[in-house]
Amino acid sequence: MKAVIQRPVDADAIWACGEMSPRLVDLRKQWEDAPVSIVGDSSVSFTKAYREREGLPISLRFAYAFKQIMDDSKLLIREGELIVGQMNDKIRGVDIFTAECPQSVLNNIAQGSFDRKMSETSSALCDEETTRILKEDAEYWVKYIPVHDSMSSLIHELGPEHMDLMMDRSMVYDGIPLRAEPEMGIWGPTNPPRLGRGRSLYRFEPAKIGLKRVKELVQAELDRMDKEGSFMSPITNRPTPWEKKALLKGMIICCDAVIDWAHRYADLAEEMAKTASSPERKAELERIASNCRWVPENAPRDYWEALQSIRFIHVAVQKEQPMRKETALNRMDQDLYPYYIKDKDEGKITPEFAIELFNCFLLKVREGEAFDPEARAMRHSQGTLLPNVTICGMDEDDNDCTNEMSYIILRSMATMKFSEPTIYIRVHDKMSTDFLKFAIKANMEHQGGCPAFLNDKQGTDRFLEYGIPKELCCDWQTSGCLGYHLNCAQHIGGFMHLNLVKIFEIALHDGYDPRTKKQLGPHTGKFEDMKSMEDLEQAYYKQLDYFADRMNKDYEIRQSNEIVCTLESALNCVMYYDTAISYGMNPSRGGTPYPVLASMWVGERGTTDVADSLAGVKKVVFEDKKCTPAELLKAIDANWEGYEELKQECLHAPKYGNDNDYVDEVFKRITDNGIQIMQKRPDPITGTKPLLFKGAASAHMYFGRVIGALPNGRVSGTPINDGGVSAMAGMDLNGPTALLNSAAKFDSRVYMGNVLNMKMSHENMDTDAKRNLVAAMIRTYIKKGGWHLQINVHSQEELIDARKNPEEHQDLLVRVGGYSANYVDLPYALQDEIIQRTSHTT
Amino acid sequence: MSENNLIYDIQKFCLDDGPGIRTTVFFKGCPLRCKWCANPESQSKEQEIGHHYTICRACGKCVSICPQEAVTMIGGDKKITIDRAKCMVCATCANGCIQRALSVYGYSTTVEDVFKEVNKDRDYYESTGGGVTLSGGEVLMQADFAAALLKRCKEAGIHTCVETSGYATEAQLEKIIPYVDLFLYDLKSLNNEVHKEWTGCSNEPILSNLDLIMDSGAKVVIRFPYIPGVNDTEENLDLMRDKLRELNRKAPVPIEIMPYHNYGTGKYLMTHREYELAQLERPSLEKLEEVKRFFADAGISCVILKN
Repeated sequence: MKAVIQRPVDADAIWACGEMSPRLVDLRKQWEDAPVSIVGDSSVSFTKAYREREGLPISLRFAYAFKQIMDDSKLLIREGELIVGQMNDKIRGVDIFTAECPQSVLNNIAQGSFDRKMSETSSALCDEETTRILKEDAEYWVKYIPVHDSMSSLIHELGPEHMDLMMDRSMVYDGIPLRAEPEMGIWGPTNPPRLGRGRSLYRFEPAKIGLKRVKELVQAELDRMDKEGSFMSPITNRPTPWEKKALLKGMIICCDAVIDWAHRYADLAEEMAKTASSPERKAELERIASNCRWVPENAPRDYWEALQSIRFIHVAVQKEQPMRKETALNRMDQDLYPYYIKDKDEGKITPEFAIELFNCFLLKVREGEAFDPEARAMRHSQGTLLPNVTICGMDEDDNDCTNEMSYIILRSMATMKFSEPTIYIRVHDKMSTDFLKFAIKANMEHQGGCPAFLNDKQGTDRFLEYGIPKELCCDWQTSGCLGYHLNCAQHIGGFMHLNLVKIFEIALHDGYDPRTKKQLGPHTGKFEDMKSMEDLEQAYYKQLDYFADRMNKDYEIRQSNEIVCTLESALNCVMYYDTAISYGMNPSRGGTPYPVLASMWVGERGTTDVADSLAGVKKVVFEDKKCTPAELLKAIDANWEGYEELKQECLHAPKYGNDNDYVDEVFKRITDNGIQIMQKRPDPITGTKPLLFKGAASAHMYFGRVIGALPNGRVSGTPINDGGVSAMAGMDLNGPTALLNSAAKFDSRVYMGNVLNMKMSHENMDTDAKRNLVAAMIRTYIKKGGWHLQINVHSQEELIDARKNPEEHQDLLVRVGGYSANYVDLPYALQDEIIQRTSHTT
Repeated sequence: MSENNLIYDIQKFCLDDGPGIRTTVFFKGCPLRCKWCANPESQSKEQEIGHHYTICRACGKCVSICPQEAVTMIGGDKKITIDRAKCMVCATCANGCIQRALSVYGYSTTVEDVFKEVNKDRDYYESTGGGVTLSGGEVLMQADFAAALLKRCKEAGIHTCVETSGYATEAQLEKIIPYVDLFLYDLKSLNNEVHKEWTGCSNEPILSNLDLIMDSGAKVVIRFPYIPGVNDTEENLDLMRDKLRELNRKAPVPIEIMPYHNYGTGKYLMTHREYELAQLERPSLEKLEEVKRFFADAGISCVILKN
């Protein structure tokens, strides 16, 4: 995507449009006050339609089921709204999609979780009728999904003890949770979407060209096939003509379903206009009706329609799999700018109204809720969907893509102060300092670590070596917390998360796990007999190698057994209509020009904790000789009970994040050697090297719970570091540059992402001169090879007060790893951790 | 070298100690005793024990292990006190404290060790026009060490600043002048009686040293600690303005106003010192803006450093 020619932007004028209009104050308040309620509508529609069409190709069954969801979908337009389209008729309604997790639904019903509060400060409501419906659907799906295949194969191939290695959420099918509590948690694939392998990222092309056009293109291919026959891959004999036609026909069904749904919104708006509260509102409703009548069926004619079109498409893909998370919104400044600038040139829109509309859009995005009671409650804030927005970057000719929309998006984000979507800025050399300063000011005002900053060039360069053309490499966006994807990749492979800290704990105990009290790994030497830190480090590598091998075999079996959802979704193919038309298969089935990008992702967790622990062993045991290895092991196994002095020694040993080579060298070495070990075996499906990822926040509490005390002074059960390359909480004591220097020592180019969270006090950003320095700091970090930086601004007093008076701090946001969350919604343990995090004051 | 190269902190990412992102090296020991001082631990040129009362659990271990019997715990609230006359700063208590609630302020170092630490952030200096700032305490009390360190940094291409009270001999000052890119020079009061009363020292050497620096051609920024009830009088402001005008005739010399704050309160408690000015009210922003205008009207470039 080429950058549009730069025009001067009046940044001050845009910044001045920061006041929230009364309309949005009301709408935002309604959202804050709305209870979270569980909705079963999609489950009923989907299950019914899917069951009725037994025997048809799955892609067609999915398409019909999707149509049913859309046809049955209840509508809601709230007073004052300018952008419409939502999941259901509740402001904060959570669709529970039983097909994705039937056993989990049954467990939750049995345990009463749906009625239980989701955290100390929020609640989930599910009425009796909904509970009954969900139970009925779940009972069908739990029998239908062939979960036993994976489990039986895993046990057959890897032995029953293999199950000890997994967290309960590692059940991809979520069919038979083997454990109610995470016992081990060495790895587990994360699961958006849960039924499928990996995930899709969308460039919102259909929202721009219109679904009518997509239908025409699909129809033309169907006609061509009738005339000329079908192409079948000589190697795979797939797809067969009927498979391909079924998929294409499914695409048309999906397009029509979305168009009809939008038209129902048009009807509703027209109806509401008749009894509108004021002439102004009447005009707005008429405009909404006209928008919905036109998009997403046709190509948008202006900015408002474009925004509405993106909204509809975004909801549609989420409605297909309501529990799907991480449906990113692409590079919205690039997508919207042509419409905006045309309107502006024609005098049809002001920056102020463009911001107002974007505010309305952000509100709709934030209203989305997710509910995943088992795992997510303890991991991070409820309701997080991670619909990232990526902005700026350079095009293939190294032109700066930043435009006026980039400013507008940041202004809107800072005004609305929502925890999501997170805005990610692709920072590069050609980006103006004025824009960076604007972004830092927005970050300061938002107070929730948003926007975050990314290394644009590194993201673009990483895939050039795979022979992917530069113009495609330039077109990338972020996903989740926080990786990134080329838009041409369409689909990425499955996720496995490796809990490095657990592996280290096992190495420390000669392959034995103190928690499950089982010998889970090979014997790699007793720590009591070790003579140096290097001995322990070698034992760690051996354990890592062993578990990486098992992980690979596990992945191979499970991925081979998986079916449905993303794999068969015709709607997914609508989003990638061009390749779907040529290949006749979903990208995840191989219908993609760049299968290399579908290689498995391995998320490593806890490099910081392992490095700090090794450094602690080196310093306390082998250098200062404060104790023998045997004594340290005893202290750790006693969770420091009776060993306070030793614990303090370990806590005060050098820590990563302070630009201290003593430990940073260890960090770098275990990273480099880890890469060798984890990339040793190819992805069993694509045959390519697994893609590595040092991320991010979400599992740090979850993994932490299953890990005992460590030689870094950490207490059993507490969270591990909150990002991929963040420091141990409260242990980066030398300020931002020292943390950045530590993080820039390892070569991050191999990784698909790594997360660095930093806290900075307000005072470091509150003048233009200081923002200039912070901007230079960000640039310097990126120049040194840093990939991601998220700056969190707030005072500890504020956080402590928010704990006491949560109702007064609804707008207080906190970033935890790659996430934003409403601070008052977080579990107390997480609140404590954030208070504890070092505030970098000067 | 007669000095023992005593510093008490190296602080990274300083945004208010000269241009750009800087690393500030705090020298220990100061001839002045400004009653508003925010760094009381910098005053003595000897090492001393600090007591971090907020993390102390009052377990009493320090009392029992101090060879000088200088540490006592008295009263129902179990507050630790240290008899500073008895204390030899042997650090037995600090090394023995499980909570690390006791620490030693001040450590001897070498030019190379400090340089190594300073040099770590050079990428950030280069991108922001930053560098190293020597502060304190009074840098000039260890002029040989300061000169050697400044020389080392300058030779490595790092921009150098010195924040000083100017209270030193000409000989001491002359040692460092060649290696200083920018002086951050404190002027507290131009009324010598006021100066003596509140800092314990005369301002005469300070003023003559300022002339010496100006004559050497070195760049100077005047720093004016603005202390309500001490040096915020009309008389002092007029004198400051006149002095600044005089300086500006030789070379551009801006003034930075450093408003009083009491962030140092905790450090007074930790070093068991009396903080006479702990309760002073902070000057209002309006008042500071007024002072800024006062200087600006006289054609003097003026900045308020927020805190």
